[in-house]
Parts: sequence; structure tokens; C-alpha cells
Amino acid sequence: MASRGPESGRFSGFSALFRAGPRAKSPCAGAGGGVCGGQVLSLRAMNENNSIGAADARPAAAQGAGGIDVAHVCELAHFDFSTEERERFQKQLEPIAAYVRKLFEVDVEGVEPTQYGQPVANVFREDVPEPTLDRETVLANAPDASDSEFRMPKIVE
Amino acid sequence: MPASEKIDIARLGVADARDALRRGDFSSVELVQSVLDAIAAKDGDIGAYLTVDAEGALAGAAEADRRRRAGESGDLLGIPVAMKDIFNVKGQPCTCASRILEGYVAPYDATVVTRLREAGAIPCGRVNMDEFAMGTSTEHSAFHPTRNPVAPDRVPGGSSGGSAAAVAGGMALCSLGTDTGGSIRQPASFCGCVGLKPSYGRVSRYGVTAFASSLDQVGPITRTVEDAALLLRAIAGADPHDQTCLDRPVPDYAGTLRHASPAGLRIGVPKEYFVQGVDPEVAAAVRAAIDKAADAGAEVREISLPHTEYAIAVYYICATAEASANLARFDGVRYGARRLGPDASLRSLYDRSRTDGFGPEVKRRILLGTWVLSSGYRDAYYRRALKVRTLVRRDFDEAFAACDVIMGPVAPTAAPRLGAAADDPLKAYLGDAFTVPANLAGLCGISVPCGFAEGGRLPVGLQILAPAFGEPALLSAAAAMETLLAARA
Repeated sequence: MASRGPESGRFSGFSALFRAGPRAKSPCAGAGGGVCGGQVLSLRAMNENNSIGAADARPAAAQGAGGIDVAHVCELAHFDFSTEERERFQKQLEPIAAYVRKLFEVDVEGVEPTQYGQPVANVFREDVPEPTLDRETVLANAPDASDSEFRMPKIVE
Repeated sequence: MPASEKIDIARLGVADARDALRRGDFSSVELVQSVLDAIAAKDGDIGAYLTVDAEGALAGAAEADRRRRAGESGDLLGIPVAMKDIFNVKGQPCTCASRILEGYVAPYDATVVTRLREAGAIPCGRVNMDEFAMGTSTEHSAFHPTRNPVAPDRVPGGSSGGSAAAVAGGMALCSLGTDTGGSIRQPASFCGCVGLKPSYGRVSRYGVTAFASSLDQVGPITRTVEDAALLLRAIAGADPHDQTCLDRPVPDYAGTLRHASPAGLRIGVPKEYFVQGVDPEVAAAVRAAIDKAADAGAEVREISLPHTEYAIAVYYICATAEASANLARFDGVRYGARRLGPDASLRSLYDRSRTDGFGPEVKRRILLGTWVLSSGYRDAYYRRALKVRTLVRRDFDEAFAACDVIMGPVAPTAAPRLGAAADDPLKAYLGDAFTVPANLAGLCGISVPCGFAEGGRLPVGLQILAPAFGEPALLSAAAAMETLLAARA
């Protein structure tokens, strides 16, 4: 067998793994109105392209309502990006956002969600107070502290 | 004779060191000193460690030697352990390889650290990782990349890449890492080590910086399966500080390995793990290992895990959603780096601290996780992913009705070159296809060296999976394969 560098076509055809299996009957089934509007075409493009990474390199606007809007999300996540950073993340995240739409292929009717690695409920322990970290130790890690408190910018006039 | 001349640190395993310490061949102080010497001599080229606490490690070793003189002889007494930079070890930095935690000093010990100390083990240094355990190459460390000691032009894998590189590079006997989607098994595979991801709920995560709380598990990277078993026994078990850690007995894992044999073992081989796109050399090495097991009396059958193709999408929704919530605590208020914007407002403090403190891969995942949880997307993406996660889990339930363990490749390729996936995050994510399902389903899994690719140059790992809390069966199968393949890091 010819020795082949992992970088040479390392993932060529690997997307076949992700194409196998049930085809989308209705990508939007059960997905909630509006969110994935316009995604039928996008998903089909992914499936036929045989290259998931390049499947949806169109600008966000062309992806319909299902696309990620980094400008909005970075506001929610408390980031303050430059225009250049925002555009870079937008470009990198669009193919990933398109890829995860694969899940619209799956029929999840009547399937319960799995939230944890093991089903556990109602774990109790004795209600015994334990010593907590002392204030001095905790404040030693504070970026700014005074009088045994964290110091913050003024928020009231 | 200097300690480093009588101790072959590049080959010594945990069980070997335990036996030698018991025989009095060398002391723990000598053992730790030889690890420190090896780090000084070799790590300049590899970059496995972020910080080394030489003074603390030698003091811990002296204490272990005292305990031994007082009559103790536990498996881990006097054994140094390299700790991924994600564990809180009192008095040591814990940066998670992130700028945002520069300067942070852990005020307490994680439960696994407390347990290691009780057993007499010594946390001797902090090893590199992808920032906040997000990545598969350790190139996302904010401080420096780590090279694969087996092939220095290659990555060591990730996120526990420093752990695997320290062990494979002869700079540690063993290491503790974490595995959220393959972060123990994949670097072990790339570096030719053994990497064990215990079942979800087997090991406490208290004091371990959280990435995705429904997936994270702590586990060892070692030279042998027996060493992994010894470490697991020390760290496993219920913890009142982590309600997800189940109260189940902790067996003597290593004790059950002595007579491990593949005869009669029912091995399931998922057809979805040998598809186009898996490097043919990797597939061949894994197939050859399974064939050897069949020759030795194992019952090998093809199985199907039909939802394998959806696992990555499920994982990158669930894991990033949880990460976006877990990493909200890094806001420049109580610890870590603080930055202020020009208007010096509270909002600018949050935004600038996070924007300047997190690296690009962490930002990508926080953005993705925030997106799938945001209004209008939560039901369509996050809730749906949780349901498909149930289907992934059911695939395994059905498969394990007909087999004891599942075997396949850890990763679709051997270790890539440094920089190979720099500009294509999705390409890197796809490499997790065979490791994330175990995390989604809460199973235990292990990587055992099984051969080489690239003309015998790059290690290939065999992945073995067993049902949740099936560690005894998993480790027995792994030990049997290790003996059969005569592979040892």
C-alpha cells in the first residue's frame, strides 16, 4: 500500500461517512417554523457536493433564516469584536452551522432528549456545613479588590 | 550514581516504578529527580509542560519516602503524575492554557488531586492542552504548541496533548487528562500511549475546569493498560462535591487483568467506523489487530451503529452549548485577566476581558453554543440534538446486547502535521467522528497502541468501547489486546 501523508487528502471522501444513511425527507420537519426556512436547497447542496467544508460558503444572507449571525451572537456572548474579527468568525462558522443542519434529516418524533451521560436524579447528601475558602485566599486571585471585596467599575451615578 | 542513570524513565511504567520502590531499587526522591532531569533535557524540543513545580514535587517525594519508611506501600506511593493544566492543584497555577487565567493560583485541590495525594502520588508538573480543552491538536494552547515526541513534525493530538507527549517523550510515567469528545483517547492514539476515558459518573469532576458538563470525564494516559487500571482505581468513586459522580463500588481493576485473554470475547466491529475517508493504513492496522484477536479465540462480528454519522453534529451542538454557559464565568470580575474598554463601563469590562482573554477556537465554540441556545434556535438545534443523542445512545444499547466490547479506530488518521487544520475548523471537528459517540452515550473507552502508519513512523490506536461502568471488561479486553500485540509505549 502506498504510504499516504495524512495531510494529503486526509479528509477526502471522509464526508462520505456523513452522507451515508437516511436522506432528508423534509429537512424542516419538526424544526419549528422559520428557523430553517430555505434550508432544503442548502442541505441538498451539501449532500451532492461531497465536500461538507465547502458546502455552504455563500454569504449568510443567502443561507436563509437558519444561518448564524455572528454580529448578534457576539453581543449575547459578551464579545467586542472588530469588524475584521466578526467577518472572519462569520466565514468560519457558516459551514459549521450548515453542517449541523444534518440533524434535520433525523426523525425524532416521540424521542426523549438525553441531557446527561448517565441518568441520575435527586442526589442527596447530609446537610452538614463545611468550611468554605477564606476570603483572603479568594481575593488573592481577584484582578482588583479592596476592603475584602471585589472592586468593579461604578454602575450607578 | 546519579538517579537518572539507574532509572530508565523513558520506559518505566507505574507498576514498574511501584515494584522498584518496594524493592528499594531507588527512592521516590530519586525517581522524581530523574523525571525533572528528563524534562530539563528533553522538553525544550517537545513543549509538553507549561509549568514544573520542582520544589513541591521533591518535597512530595520526600514525604512519600517517609510514608514508605512508616510502613505504607500503596500502588501509587511516591509516583509522580503529570497533570493537565485543567486540574486545580492548591498553590499551583491552573490556566487551562488560556490567557484569561494567567496569574490564577488554585485555592484548593480537585477531588482527583486529593485522592492522588492520599494514595501518595505526586502532582509534579502541569502539561499543555488546547485552550479550555477545546481542540484536537494542542495547537490551540495560548502559550505554545506541543510536538509529537514520536514524530516531531506532527501534532501530539489534543486536547490532552501535553499529557500524551510527556508520557511518550519519556518525561512522565503517567498523566491525568480529560476527555469530552476524545481528548484522552485521540492524543494517546497519536503518541502511542494508552488512554482511558472512564464512564460518565465514574470519576469526580470537582475542581476540574468545566468544558461540557454532561460529557467531561477525567482519565489517565499511561504506558500500559495495567498502569491505567491502577490510576483509575485511585481516582474513581463517589464524591459529595459532584452529584453526577455515581456511588458505585470501585473494584481492583488491575487485579482482574492478570489472566486477560481474548478467548471467548465477543467483539463488535461497527461497519460505520471503516468507511471511505478513514486512512487505509489506519484501517489496516486496526483490522489486523482485530484479526489477531479472532485468531486467539475471540468471536468477532460486524455490528451497526446507524446514527454514527450524526454524532459530530450532536456533539458540536451539545458541547458548545454547555461550554457557552460554563465559560460565562470568565468575565474579569473574580479571577483571571481584566481589561476595560475606553468608556471604562462594566459592560466594557466583561466584553474586553473576554475578547482579549479567550483564543480563537474558544471564541468559535462560545459563539456556536450561544447561537444554538439563542431565541428561535434552541428548539430547532439544541433540543433536537439532545433527542438525536438519545438515538446515538440506543445504538450502543442494542449493539452491546450482542457483544462485550466494540473495537475500531480511535481517529480516522494518524497524527497530522502541525498547522494542517489551522484554517478549517470543521475539518478538524470531523476527525472526532469515532470518539464523540462514547461521550454522548456515557460509555467507557480506551485507546491501545496497535500498529503504525506512514511507513512505520506514526502510531495508530485501537479503540475499545464498553458499556457504562463496564471498566473491568474494557480493561481486560485492552490488556488482552496489549499482550497479543506486544505493544508498549
